[in-house]
Amino acid sequence: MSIMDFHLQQLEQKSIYILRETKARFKNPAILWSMGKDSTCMLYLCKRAFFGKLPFPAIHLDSGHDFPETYQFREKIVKEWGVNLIIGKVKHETDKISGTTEGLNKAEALKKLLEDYKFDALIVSIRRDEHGIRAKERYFSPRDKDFRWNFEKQPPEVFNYISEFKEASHVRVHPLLHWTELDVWMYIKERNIPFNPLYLAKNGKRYRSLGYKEVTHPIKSDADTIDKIIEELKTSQIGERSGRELDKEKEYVMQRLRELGYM
Amino acid sequence: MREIPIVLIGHKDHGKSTLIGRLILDTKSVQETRLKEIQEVDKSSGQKFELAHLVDTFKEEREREMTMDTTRAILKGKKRKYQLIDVPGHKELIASMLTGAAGAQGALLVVDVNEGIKEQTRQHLEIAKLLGIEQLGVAVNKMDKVDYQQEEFEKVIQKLREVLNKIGYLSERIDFFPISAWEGDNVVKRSNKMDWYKGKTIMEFIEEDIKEPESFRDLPLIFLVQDKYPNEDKEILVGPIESGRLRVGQKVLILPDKRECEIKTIRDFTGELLEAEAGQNIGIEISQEDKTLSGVSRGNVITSLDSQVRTDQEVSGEVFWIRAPSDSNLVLECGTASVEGQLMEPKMITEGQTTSYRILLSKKMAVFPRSRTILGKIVLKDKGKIIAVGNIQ
Repeated sequence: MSIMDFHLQQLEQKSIYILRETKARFKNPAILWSMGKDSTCMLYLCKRAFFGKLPFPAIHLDSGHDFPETYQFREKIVKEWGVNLIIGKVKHETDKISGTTEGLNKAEALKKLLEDYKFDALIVSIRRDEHGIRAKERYFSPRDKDFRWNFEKQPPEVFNYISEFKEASHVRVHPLLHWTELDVWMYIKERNIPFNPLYLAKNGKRYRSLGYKEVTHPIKSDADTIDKIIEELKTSQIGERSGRELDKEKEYVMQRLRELGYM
Repeated sequence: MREIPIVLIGHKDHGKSTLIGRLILDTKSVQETRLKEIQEVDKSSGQKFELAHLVDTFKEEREREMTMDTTRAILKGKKRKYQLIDVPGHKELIASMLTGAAGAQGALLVVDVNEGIKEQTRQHLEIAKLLGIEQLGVAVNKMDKVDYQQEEFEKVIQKLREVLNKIGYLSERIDFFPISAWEGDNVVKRSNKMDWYKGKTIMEFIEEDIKEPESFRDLPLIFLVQDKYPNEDKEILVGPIESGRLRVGQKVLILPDKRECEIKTIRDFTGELLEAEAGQNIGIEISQEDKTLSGVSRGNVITSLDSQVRTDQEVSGEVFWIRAPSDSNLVLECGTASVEGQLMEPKMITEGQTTSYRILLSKKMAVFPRSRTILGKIVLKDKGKIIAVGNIQ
C-alpha cells in the first residue's frame, strides 16, 4: 500500500467498493457533477475504481448561473479526463432566484433528464456531515415513481447487503456518505486532484460551498492554499454550507427539498 | 484515523438521542453555528430546545419526540474520533435500527432507571449479540428522576445482569454507568451528586475501553469476486480482499467449484502490484488449466489452498426476522453470492424474533462459519427484499 494516511485509504476503498457495486447492479448509472470539490473527487474515485476509465456519464444541471470560474474548470476537466458530459438545462425566471428555487428548479431539470436518458442510478456526492437531513441517507436510496424520498420506509442496509429496488424510479447512490469536509480536502491534497480556484481565499474571502452565484456567499478566510484550508477546517466552528441560502432559510427546507428529489 | 462506530441501543424514550446530544455538546463536537440554527428553528416553531434535536433533524421526529430513522454524529475525543449511531427505539422501526447497528464496533445500551428493562431493551441486545458486537456498556439513565439514589441504580442493574447473561453477554465483564443525559451527570463531566459511584464516566469508557476494530489481515484469504471487467484482450476479476493477503504467483482455490489456479497479476489504478491485503479493492488475472475465466463470476470466492473457508449446500445459524417470509423459497446472500434455497427451519416465524434457521440451497456456496468476516454474516431475501439478518454457525 502507498504511504497515504490509513484513514483516507479506508474511505477511498469503501467508496470504490460502492462504485463497483453500482456498476454491477445497475444498467445505466450517471454521476451528478457540480464541478464542486466533492463531485470532482467522485469523478476521480471513479477513475480509480475503473482503472482510469469513466464508465458513467456526468450530468451538469446548468442554469447559466454558476460562476465563470466554474465553467472554466468544467471545460478543463472534461478535456483532461475525457468526461462524457451531459448538460441538463435548468430553467429560471431570473427575477426569482433564491436558495429554494435553486433547489427546486434543479430537481425539476434532473427529473426530465432521468426520464429522457432512462438512468436507473444516480451517483450523488452528498456527505453525512454536511447537513442533519443528509445524515439520514443510505448508500443506496430508492426514489419512487414521483421521485419522492420516503424516509420512513427506507430499506435496511446491513453490512454490505442491500435489497433490490423493483418499485423505484431510480436509486440514489452516495459513495461519499461517510466522508467529512476535512477528509475531502485532505484527500484532494494527497491525490493531487484539481479543484475550482474559488475555494481559495482572495482578498480575505473564500467560498466553502458552491452554488448559484446570486445565492452563494464567501466566508471570511485567509486560506489561499490547500494546506491553509485544511488547517482552517480543523478548528472552524462555522458550518460548511453557511454560505448557501438554500439551507439557511429554514431548517426543514432541506428535508422538503430532499423529499421532492433535490440532491 | 477513522472514526470508531458506536451504536446507542435501547427502548424508546429511554434517552438514546439525548445522550448523543449531551456527548457531542459537552465535548464541543458540534459546531456553534449548527447549535444556534437548531435553537432558532425550535424557537420559531414554538418547540422547546431538546438535546435530541441535534440528531433528530426531521420535522416529524421533533414533533413526535421520537427518532424515526438512524443517523450518525461525530464525537471528538481527546485521543480518537467516534461515530455515534442513533437508532429508533420503536418496535415498528427495527429495519432502521439494524441498518444503524450493523458494523458498529461497540454498543451503549441506554436504560431508563424508572422503567427498567422493556421490550426493545431485550430485543436490541439480542440484535447486538447477533450482529457480533462484543463491546458493550450500559448507561442507566435519568438518575436525576430518582434523586440519584444508589438503591434504584442497583435494582435495575441486578435485573439487567440476568438478561445480559441469558443473551450471551458476560455481565461481570460489563460496566454500568449511573447517568443523567439531560443534566449531564457522569456523561462527560463527573457528577457531584453521586458520591457512591467511583467508576468511569461514559466518555472515559468510550475513550479507554472501546478497542479499535481488528484488522482482518491475519485471517485466511477471502477475495470476493464482485465483477469482471474487460482489459485490453483479457478479462480481470475485481473485488475487495475481505481478509488475508494475496501475492502474485500464489496458488489459490476458486470457490464454490474448488478449482485451483494461480494469481497472474494484481492491479489497481496505479498499475501492477506484487501483493495486496485485506481492505484493498483490486483487480486480478488468474491462470488456470482451461485458460479462460468462463464460469468465474460475481459471487465466487478466491481463497488459499489451506483455508478454513468451505463450501456448503445446507447452511444454518441464527437470524433476526424483520418480517415473516411469504413462503419458504428464499434467497440467501453471503459475501457477493446470492443463492436460492428452501427454508427448512424454523417452521413458525414471528416478526421481531431471533431464531435459529436452516436452509437448503439450490447449489453450493462459500462460507466461513462463526467468523467475523462477511462470509460468516448473511441476509435472507424474500422477493428481493431483505427480511432477515444473521450469521452462519
